[in-house]
Amino acid sequence: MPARNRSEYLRAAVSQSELRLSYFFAIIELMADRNYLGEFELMILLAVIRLGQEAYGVPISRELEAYRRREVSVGSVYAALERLEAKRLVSSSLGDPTPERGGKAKRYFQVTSAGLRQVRETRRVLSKLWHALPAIKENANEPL
Amino acid sequence: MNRFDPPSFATWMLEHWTLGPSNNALAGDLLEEFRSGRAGRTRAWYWRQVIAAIAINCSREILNHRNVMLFAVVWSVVSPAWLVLSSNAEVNSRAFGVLVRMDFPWSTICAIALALVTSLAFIWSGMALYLIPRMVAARSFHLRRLARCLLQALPMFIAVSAVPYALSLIFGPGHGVGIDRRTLTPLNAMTDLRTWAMVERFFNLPILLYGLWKAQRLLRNVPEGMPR
Repeated sequence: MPARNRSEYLRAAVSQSELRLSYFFAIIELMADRNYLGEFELMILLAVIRLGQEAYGVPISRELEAYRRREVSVGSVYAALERLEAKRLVSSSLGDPTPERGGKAKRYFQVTSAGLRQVRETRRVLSKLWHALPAIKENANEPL
Repeated sequence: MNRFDPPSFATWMLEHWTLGPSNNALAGDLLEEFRSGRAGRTRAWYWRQVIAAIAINCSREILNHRNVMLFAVVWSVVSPAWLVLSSNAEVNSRAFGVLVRMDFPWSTICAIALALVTSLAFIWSGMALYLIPRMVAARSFHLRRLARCLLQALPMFIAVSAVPYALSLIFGPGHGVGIDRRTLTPLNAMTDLRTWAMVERFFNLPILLYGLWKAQRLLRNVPEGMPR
């Protein structure tokens, strides 16, 4: 390799390595981010859509409890909602504090347009998968 | 306390042991649901909800800081080697000879101070090793900020280092009773699984975790006007 080309190559390599270093840690942080909806996240998104303007922790948890027929941890609902908010699939706003809640404000959630797109896409994929299956027999222990 | 009041200790735990943007709303939701009088909203239900919320919060914090966890564990494993290196350095230094010839109580006070400084130097060098590359990569390195980050470990260091010293004062002179560290090499110390080495690791781990966790929070929430 000629000397000039080599120095240019080295300079480019140094600047690239600086760039790599600055993004290295950011990449590590982002590596764990998931791009698909989990079952619980999908249920919560559907509950938020159904509740509309009244979607906050208590009614969302009640909705999930009613459909799943088992106790729901409100903490896990908030953890999932925060994940959805980080993915920009829902947004939130604080209401006014009320005395029956010990002076603590409600946090209302709304589905964003990206959230709606994600729900439609999930429904499309799940519907296709369901339709591709043979009919489920009455006896759940038998194979499909 | 009446039937509309949830267990106050559970509420205190919820308010103090959880972090995050939704925790106020979560506490309000639990209170509203508890007071709603719906079937199953008992004190046991409230306790279950609070414990679940704390567990979820802890696991989320661990997942969000898994790099910190990994680094703290690795650095704690190395800590006996640091002790061996510092013991050798102390024995070979002239200041140590002066210390040995001192009268009580100055000899004890100076020995404790020396041990504390050695321990703190280990914690701070680990924190610096973890934080400096990140600060440089984010183009936010500043000595004053680094110093503030290192100081975050101090409360936990004071709290945790008091315990081994109390124990060592009760059970014998200094930790590592019966161990002549001069006979060990740093590599031997790193792989040593005897009580003295495990105690050393056990006490360093929470200090490192706490210090790095607080430092990361500090780095993420830099107030206006501070050098970035």
